[in-house]
Amino acid sequence: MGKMVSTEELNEIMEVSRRFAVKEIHPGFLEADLESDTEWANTVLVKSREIGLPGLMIAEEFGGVGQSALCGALVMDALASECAGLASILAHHFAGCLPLSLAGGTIKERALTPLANSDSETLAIATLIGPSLQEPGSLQLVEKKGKLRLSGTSPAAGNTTFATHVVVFIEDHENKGEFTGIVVEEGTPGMTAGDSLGLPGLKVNPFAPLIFDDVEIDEETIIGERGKGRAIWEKTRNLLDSLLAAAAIGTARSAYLKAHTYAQERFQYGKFIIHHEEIQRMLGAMRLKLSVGTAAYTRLFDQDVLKLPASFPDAGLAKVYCTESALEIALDAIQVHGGYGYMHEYGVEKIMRDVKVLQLIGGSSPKVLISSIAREI
Amino acid sequence: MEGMMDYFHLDYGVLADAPDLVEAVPALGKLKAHCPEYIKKAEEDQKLARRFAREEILPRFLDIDAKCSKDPTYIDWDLWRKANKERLTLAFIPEKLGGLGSTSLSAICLMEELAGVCMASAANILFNNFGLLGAMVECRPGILMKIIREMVDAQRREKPLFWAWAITEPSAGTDAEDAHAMASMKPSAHAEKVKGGYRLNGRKCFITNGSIADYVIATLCLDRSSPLESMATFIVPAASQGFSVGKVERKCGQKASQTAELIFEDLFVPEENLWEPPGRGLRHTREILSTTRGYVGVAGLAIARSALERCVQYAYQKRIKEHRLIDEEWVQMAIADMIKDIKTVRAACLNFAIAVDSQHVRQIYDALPVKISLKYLPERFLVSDTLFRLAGSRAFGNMTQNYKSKLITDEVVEKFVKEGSAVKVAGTNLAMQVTSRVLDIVGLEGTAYRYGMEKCFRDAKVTQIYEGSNQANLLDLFHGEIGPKL
Repeated sequence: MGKMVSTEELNEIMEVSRRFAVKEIHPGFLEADLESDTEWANTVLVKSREIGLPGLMIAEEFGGVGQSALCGALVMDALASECAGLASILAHHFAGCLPLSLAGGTIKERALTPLANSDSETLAIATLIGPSLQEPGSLQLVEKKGKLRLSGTSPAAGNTTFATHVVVFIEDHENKGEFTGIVVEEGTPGMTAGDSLGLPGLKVNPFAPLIFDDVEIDEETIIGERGKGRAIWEKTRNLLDSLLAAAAIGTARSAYLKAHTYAQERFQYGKFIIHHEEIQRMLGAMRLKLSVGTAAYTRLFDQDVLKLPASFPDAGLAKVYCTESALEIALDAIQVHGGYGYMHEYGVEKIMRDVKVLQLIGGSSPKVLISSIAREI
Repeated sequence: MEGMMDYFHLDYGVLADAPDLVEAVPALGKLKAHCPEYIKKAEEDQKLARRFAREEILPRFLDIDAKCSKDPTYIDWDLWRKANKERLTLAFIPEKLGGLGSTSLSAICLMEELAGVCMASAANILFNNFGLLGAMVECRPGILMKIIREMVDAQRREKPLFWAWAITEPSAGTDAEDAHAMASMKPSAHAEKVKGGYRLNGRKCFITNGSIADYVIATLCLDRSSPLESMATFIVPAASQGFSVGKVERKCGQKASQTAELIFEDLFVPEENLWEPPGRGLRHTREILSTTRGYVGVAGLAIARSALERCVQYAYQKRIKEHRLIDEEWVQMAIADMIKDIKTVRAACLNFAIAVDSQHVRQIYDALPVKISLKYLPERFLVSDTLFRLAGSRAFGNMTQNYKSKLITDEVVEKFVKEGSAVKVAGTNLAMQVTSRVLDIVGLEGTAYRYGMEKCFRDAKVTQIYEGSNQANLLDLFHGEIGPKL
């Protein structure tokens, strides 16, 4: 998956992403959060094409940059340090592109070429809907008169209003425990977005269920083979989990830096508060979680890991660790700021809200912990 | 916003019939045997508040939150008027004087029930009582009677009369609440003595109800270089020349409760509006904190409870294949664990409230003259000009102040600051923990705005910050409990 690059090259790409975040995301992100402004996100995404962000993980033959998943995660970290909501859009986009990269057939080129966003006029963004394990039969793929048709309401998905390619994995009814992956392109009759959930965080990313009203599925848009999508889905879920873990750590990194800076400026109790041991302890705990969290998500991409019992890299568990740590960091960062931390204009409480939503995407922590054991037995 | 809370089906929590006070803390049963009236009053208040919360707040709190997100100065005055009709806005005023006559215990029930549906709406309805509490703590009968008359008069006419406490300054949070810290405080506001009164200048920030207050009780120092020794307390009518409201803050949560910046520019207050003389300001703040911190603990408890109740209701109706979410073992374990914490903290809160009734400012109602007056004097005499003049007289004032200083000694104040801090930290940490954990149970879809659980999560965080950050509270707890032994 992607080419191997040197640490220098990765640092260079992160630097470019960081500069992009400061120049293009920072100026409007707080206003956009206030207004749940998806138009703002759209504008930033259009701009991001200039540095090749949407095509970052798509092969060069389709017009992408062909970078590795590690690179994708590091870019998430860099972008999320300004706005985790914006980063989450690209996380869903990257994850949505992966099954297409892994698939064969004509759909691969047909979808990846626009999604690389290298020369087309309009912005193309993917999103991902995992197999719904919540409601029985909420999405159904049935064959009618020799044609495949998709019906039902999906669980809430990200990127809904601007997704041009919706990658859906659904449970196969004939083959229990197996999935079929398909990509539904924008403009397909019968596909609409439901009402936005109105989540407390990641507000520039419109999370909503997608409604499929007897949508006719073109056989060519099936990813891989029908009823044989489990392996691809698992890889895709792992990628999404690792990108979200990186985004959580990235945004928590900015909470830490804000708190550290503020502690040096705020005078209380006879000294700058950074001289209080309790504040030092809190900042130290944040730094601990940041460094372990960074290690946890970067290790997921390491090809040669030590073979320690019960410690194989697991994207789901890394996401649990990183998002939980990020939430603790955000809560303490607000606390260090006192009342100011609770006010919108300081941008610290936003991090708490964003991280809480990151924690819930793809299943909350206890669910992931349980299934990490349950699926083995 | 239609169909709000349409997922409430279980006869539990706010939907259940109050009162369940004795059921919640069975030890109260013993107290009920000895003081039936005392527990009965708390049960009545609980019943009233639960009904009000269910019928009036539950159907509209999300709508209010959404409106306040757009416009932080929005207030649902209709809700306030309904609460006023029930005298919830006059909870601490004795019944004979036109209030609800709540004890500290029964007021904690009001708080838990109202904030158990919406913390910010509860703040709008109940926090105003703390202005009165401040006067009661002060025990200056002249001021107290004046306040009571004015509040009762205004609110009988459905005209809100709001108080705000202005302690925090842009440069002083913890520093304004603690003696060691205040000694090195860098004040953002100060007062100077002028002929016939004082001139105030500077800024106060994060003042609850500051933007709608008719009266602001503000602490300001007279000498910026020695704030501790010169801190005084003033009553500032909002109509005073030189008083203005700065920005009303955009907050993460508790949006319906306004938080404002207050600006004093050459604001003159006459001598009689000096509530506490220079050097006594901190003591006054500590007296207030000695009772209010316990209430913030209850606020935290109530937020935790509202989140848990919604989670139970959601998990009860949410179907997953062949079963309900609430049938899953991990969900049951998590819910039980949270109930365990809520029960423990509730017992601590009620314990604190009963202690305020029996050993703190509420003892004043047990003083024989007060007891006899409230029991036997006709209402029209209690609110009469005669009594008003008597209460305002220097002799009567001195008498009650002497009585009060014997009753509420420095030791009592510091003891209750200590106990209140423990309850405050326990309740508010619980709020943050439970509101976050509940979202883990209900997942992304249950975190949608319409279920009201994400609002609990947003509302919770500030409880760990206001009324002294939890860190400041922990310091008070340490210095109160261990400090004297060192």
